[in-house]
Amino acid sequence: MENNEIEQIIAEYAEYAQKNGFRLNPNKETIKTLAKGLLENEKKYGERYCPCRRIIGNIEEDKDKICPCEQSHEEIKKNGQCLCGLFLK
Amino acid sequence: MFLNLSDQNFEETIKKEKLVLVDFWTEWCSPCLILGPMLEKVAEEYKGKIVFAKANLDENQIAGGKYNIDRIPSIIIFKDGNPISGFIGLRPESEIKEWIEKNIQPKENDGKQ
Repeated sequence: MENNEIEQIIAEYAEYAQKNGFRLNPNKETIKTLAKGLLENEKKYGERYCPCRRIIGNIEEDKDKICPCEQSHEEIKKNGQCLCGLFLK
Repeated sequence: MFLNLSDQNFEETIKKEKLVLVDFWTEWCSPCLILGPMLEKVAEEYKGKIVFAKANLDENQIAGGKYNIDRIPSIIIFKDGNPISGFIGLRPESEIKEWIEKNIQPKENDGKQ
């Protein structure tokens, strides 16, 4: 896994967070681990699925787990962060 | 000490031991990597009272599917092979201990026919 791939994914999600009124977790280690998980899932399943959800291998059933996932907005609003802690309020 | 569970030994282990706490985790889940060491510390305090185990969800899809683990970290306590309580996500250590205490206390009708 290349470092520049990880940095690129982090930059993409930071931009997404800013556009949506929340922020990326400031802990570099946390977001690097999550970025590796997202890239690992992309290589394994073809999509950047959330590393904190179980992927069952069915495209239709797994589609709402693609990061940023459908549940993340509600989780950020309710808990101050998404399930994985990638995005914070 | 944590037992490493796999799809092969999962059912056998949770049935063999009276009380088992299972931590469902994966290598890339950051909250799992924070919770794991916290549980290892807690496990030391509960030695002899409850067995601590972990199951990597990426490698053990059968167990994950059977117990409807859709989000991680997921922690479940099994008693005599049956899930009796669980939680999802990070929790403070004190809260985890309270939860364990509550679930390892013998119930009034335990052991009675």
